[in-house]
Amino acid sequence: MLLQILVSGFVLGCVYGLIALGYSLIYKSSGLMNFVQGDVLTLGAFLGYTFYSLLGLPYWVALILTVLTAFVFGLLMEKFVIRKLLSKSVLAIYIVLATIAIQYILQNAIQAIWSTKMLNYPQIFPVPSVSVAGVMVQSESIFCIVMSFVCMAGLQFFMKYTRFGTAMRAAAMDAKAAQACGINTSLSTGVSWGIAAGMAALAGILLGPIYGVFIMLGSTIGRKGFAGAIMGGYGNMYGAIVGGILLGLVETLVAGYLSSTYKDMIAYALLLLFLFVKPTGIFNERAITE
Amino acid sequence: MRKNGKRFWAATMSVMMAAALTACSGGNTAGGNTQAAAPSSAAPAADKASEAGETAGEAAAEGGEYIIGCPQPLTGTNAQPGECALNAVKLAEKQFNEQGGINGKKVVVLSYDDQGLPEEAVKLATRMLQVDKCEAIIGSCISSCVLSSGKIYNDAKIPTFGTGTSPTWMQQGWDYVFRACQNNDFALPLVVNKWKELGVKKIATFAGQDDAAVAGVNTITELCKEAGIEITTSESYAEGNTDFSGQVAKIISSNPEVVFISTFGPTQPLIAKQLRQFGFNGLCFTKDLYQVDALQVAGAASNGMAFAYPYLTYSSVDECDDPFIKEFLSAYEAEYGTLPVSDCAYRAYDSMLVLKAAAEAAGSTDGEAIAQAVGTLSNIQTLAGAQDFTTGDGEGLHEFNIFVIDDEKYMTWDKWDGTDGYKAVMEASGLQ
Repeated sequence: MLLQILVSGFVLGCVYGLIALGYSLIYKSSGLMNFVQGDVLTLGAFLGYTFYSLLGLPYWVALILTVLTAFVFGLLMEKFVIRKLLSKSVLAIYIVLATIAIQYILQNAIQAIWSTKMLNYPQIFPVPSVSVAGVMVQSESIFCIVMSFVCMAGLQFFMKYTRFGTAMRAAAMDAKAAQACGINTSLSTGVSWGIAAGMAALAGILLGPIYGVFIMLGSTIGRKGFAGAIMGGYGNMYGAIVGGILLGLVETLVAGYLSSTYKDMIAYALLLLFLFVKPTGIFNERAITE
Repeated sequence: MRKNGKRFWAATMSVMMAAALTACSGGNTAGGNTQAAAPSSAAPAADKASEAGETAGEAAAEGGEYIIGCPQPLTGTNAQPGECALNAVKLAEKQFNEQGGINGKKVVVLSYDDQGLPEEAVKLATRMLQVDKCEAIIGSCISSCVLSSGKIYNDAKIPTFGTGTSPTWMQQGWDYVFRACQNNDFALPLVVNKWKELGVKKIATFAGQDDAAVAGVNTITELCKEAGIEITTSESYAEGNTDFSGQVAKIISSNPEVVFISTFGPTQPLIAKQLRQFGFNGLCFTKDLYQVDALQVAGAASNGMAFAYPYLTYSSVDECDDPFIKEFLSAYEAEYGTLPVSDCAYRAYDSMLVLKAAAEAAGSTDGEAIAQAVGTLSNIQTLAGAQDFTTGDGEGLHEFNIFVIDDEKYMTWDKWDGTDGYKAVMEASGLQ
């Protein structure tokens, strides 16, 4: 039973981690918070379903189109909502509120476009499940784990070792100074919101075959991903995945050995504990203003 | 060059988004669009009488209007059953008006979104009665919402038909609140009797935290105690969760012969898939109908799922062999371009049929007269079969069938008994 729970918790944690990566990226590149991630995950699942199941496109094409479409969505959201608000020099809380508003709009728009029906996402791989240390794991779950780590490594590399990534970090640290150095802060912030949305959509298209596609698919996962990002160290890419995995493991272990009724309570109590005891998260990311 | 590049990307993205939207509109002739056009919680929508029934409708209009409020969860986790219920009520509204309305009055249905939240249901109840002057209510398919708002309707003497399946709100002693669908407390003894018949000694339960789910698992626990059946573990989940691996691992390690699943809507296929994936291939019973969309999503993992219920949902009209349900499904499909995936459509439609029958029996649309007339109704033909309200409990349905899924198809337990699928599931449950 323990092995089964550990494997499941790890899979679940990787999903949280993928969402957490988006939160961390946006924070790292713009110092802002975005609560639309969970619903972009749902959008990704529906887009993936549309490209793959309805239009009959090959899976990889559907996956790329889904991520690109979400990227554009994120870019547009930053350009036409976040950037407009930032140009008015509003308080950061207004940006958070704007993303919460977009969250509800997106939820209802998805419902209006695709209906409330629960949709069946066909299997991607010919082998439905594989044995990992004697535990049967759905093939798509393995794919999800692989993609989470690929995204984590890719983003860390992008942020640390590319010019654009460095520009994004510079823009987050001091937008005016970055602009004075010739960095297009609007573009760098927009791209980070686009990448975050693309990753959430990627999680959506990966989760479709595991959970099915329905309008509330991403709402809880989005919240848990946020918690994972904080536990790992808000703004740290490794921390996002590790925090997500930690949360996934805690949840499944609590449900398996303590109480399924209170597993969320215990998971969020852990988040509070981190906020009090180690606000910099596992990876010691600076989270307290100096 | 840079501008051209921007244009290229803009055009490419526009084509991709348009392709996605076109594709889904093609595959979505569902009531989803109807629902999307439906007003938000604060804005009720009065339907117009259809052109087909214009003459009768005009006659009905001369007799005034009979306003029926229909609060349902139109957004959130339970939007799908809520939308199906509302569609069915509006279909009944249209059909009644084509036939001359109710007692010569044109039926006007006002729809509201209670979001599946009890506090929202209370706010809407006040609005429906004080602002919109609703004269009857086809209540929410979420039992917690009926429970929270029922007293308001009852105190105002407004005939109300709840469409949730929990026993709790009918135990409040409200004289103006009725039910024309399943009460789980009436169906679950049938389930436990079946377990006794099969020689089941131990079961595990898995339940949501809403009123109907908790009530369902409480009833099963009581019935099992009386029957001497051990409950190896009782697991639960919070609404919105999609991963139940911890709970499933615990259920399986407790080694039950049968798993009782007290959930609703999108959770059904998730738990079915996870139970089967983790290696439990035995018999499962759900508290409600295992919906046709859950069957499609979970596929073979649905085999061996059983439930006691009055009716089934279908993926095509031809699958249905009950002429009355077939007629309803054809009309629903003609109106909305799709079949209802949730049985909440049946529950709401039956409630409208009983309300009409009661109003006709009373010869009036007065709340008190209708409430008294409901208690005299018997042999009212509905989708769930003949309903009888003369038992004095405000409930119309007292008999149910046990259905099971085998080879990804519904069948009655009697037909399933003895088949290869039956033997395989019983063997996996350790019951043979």
